[in-house]
Amino acid sequence: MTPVQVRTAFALQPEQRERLKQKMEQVLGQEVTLTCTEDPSLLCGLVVQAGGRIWDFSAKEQLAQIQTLLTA
Amino acid sequence: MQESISIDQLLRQRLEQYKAEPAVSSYGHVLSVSDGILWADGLEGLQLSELVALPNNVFGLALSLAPDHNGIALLNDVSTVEEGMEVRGTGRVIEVPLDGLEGRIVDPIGRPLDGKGPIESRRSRPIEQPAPAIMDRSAVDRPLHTGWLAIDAMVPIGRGQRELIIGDRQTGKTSLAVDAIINQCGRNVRCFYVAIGQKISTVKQVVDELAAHDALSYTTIIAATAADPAPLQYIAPYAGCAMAEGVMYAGGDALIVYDDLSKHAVAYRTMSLLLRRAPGREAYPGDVFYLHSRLLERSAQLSEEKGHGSMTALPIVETMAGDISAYIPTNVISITDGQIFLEEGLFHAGVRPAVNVGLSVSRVGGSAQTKAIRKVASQLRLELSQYNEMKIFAQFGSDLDSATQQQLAYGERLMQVLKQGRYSPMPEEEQAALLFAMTTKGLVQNMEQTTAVQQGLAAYLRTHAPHILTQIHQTGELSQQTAEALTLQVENFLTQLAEQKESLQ
Repeated sequence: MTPVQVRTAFALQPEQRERLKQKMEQVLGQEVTLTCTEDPSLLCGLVVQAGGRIWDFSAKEQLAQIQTLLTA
Repeated sequence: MQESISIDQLLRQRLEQYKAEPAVSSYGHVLSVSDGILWADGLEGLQLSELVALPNNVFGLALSLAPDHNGIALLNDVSTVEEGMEVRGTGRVIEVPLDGLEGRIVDPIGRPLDGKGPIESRRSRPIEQPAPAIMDRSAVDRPLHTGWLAIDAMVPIGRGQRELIIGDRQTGKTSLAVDAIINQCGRNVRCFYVAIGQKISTVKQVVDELAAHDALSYTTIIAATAADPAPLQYIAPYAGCAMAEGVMYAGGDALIVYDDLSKHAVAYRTMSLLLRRAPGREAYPGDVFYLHSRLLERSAQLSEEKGHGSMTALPIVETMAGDISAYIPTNVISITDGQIFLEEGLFHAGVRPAVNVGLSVSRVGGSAQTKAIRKVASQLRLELSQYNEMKIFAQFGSDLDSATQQQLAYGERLMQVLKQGRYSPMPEEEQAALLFAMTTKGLVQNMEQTTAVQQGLAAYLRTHAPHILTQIHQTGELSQQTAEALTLQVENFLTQLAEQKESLQ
């Protein structure tokens, strides 16, 4: 059983949680337990942490990337 | 010529490059931390020497990779690191800026230490790089003048060479290197001084010396002092090297001083022992040779195709009781293209620079000398070695034949003329003229004339026959004609000296 931490800007609906759980189980090849927290600073999107890796799909991260691109 | 472009056009161009992709990085948690090393789990996909980030702007270098047990050396303030904290991989190795460094003092990550504002740089470069390939190099054949007569005449250094400065503490190693930097004024050589593990007050002294002699404007100082953590001292030479490579690969000439590699090896040993790597000889890790060889091999003379740039390295190693056959000294001697051995005995006897001519060598040699100097200095090493051998006999106080006495006197005059003070670099043409005067039979014949010539010949020539010096400087040669004119001038100078002496009596 692998713990997976998920942070989202808005609370996830139960069916969204289920889809996410299934996807993570597919990616990691193991059963997962999801721990979900809310973080409004992400604006929208989600951040998934599992097995030593972080996948940051949040709008906050994308805006930061655009900022770097424009100010380089 | 760049076409001028409006701001919104520029922004549009940049925005078009944007792709909506998630940011993927590795993360883990601190399992334990002590003595500047932390062990972390997770960090899937972490690379060797990858920069990792912790909360509170703490950075570390990943040096030991194992599943759920990664060893990370911390680069800055360790006091905020706690067990359980999150560690993130940045996906990058350490990079240093390449521009805006002239006259600045920075740390090995490129952060300013002189309070003169941020370093503005468009370009950056990873600190670890492969050395130039075999076919990208060409022979070292351009001189790098240090301004020290003893060095430029007998142990000449060329652009792209690695020449080791080795000796006990307080024998003039740093002074030799710093004055070589001072001599690069107006010669289009970008200088870099890497201070590793030194006292902060010593670094300040070097900065002040460079500033006082107008050398700071073309020099960058990279400092990882004794107060900095061992990992920072470990990366300092590589950081300086990367900055110098920025100059070399752009077709310029760079000079880099590593002061010193002994302390660098100690810092690396500290880190390796704390990372639980097996200690070898003198407790150094097994790859302490590679530590220095990969650094020094990055200094080279590049081929024409690669821009003909160069990086000359002057690494400094400190010996204990003059033992050059100790571990680190022998390692670095075998890597470099020669060494300048500074001896304590000579230093205290007033021979400064305290160069032991017998044990010092430049494996590049004459190809790195201007023709003029090569001509007049060719016999110098031989004469001095004969003098040193004969000195031993003279100590027995026995009666010596006149030929031996003359040879001894000649040797003493040569030793005198090779002595040089600090902050008084000698241009090549003056070196050539001085050595010509000393080595031409029948010209300078006693010690009194020697000191007079040493102190006054250059000024005399500049007043009475400046064309001689200009000719040597421009052609790099001492032609027959110039030699005859020079002989005449020296004779006049000595006559004037004798007359002045007479009128005083």
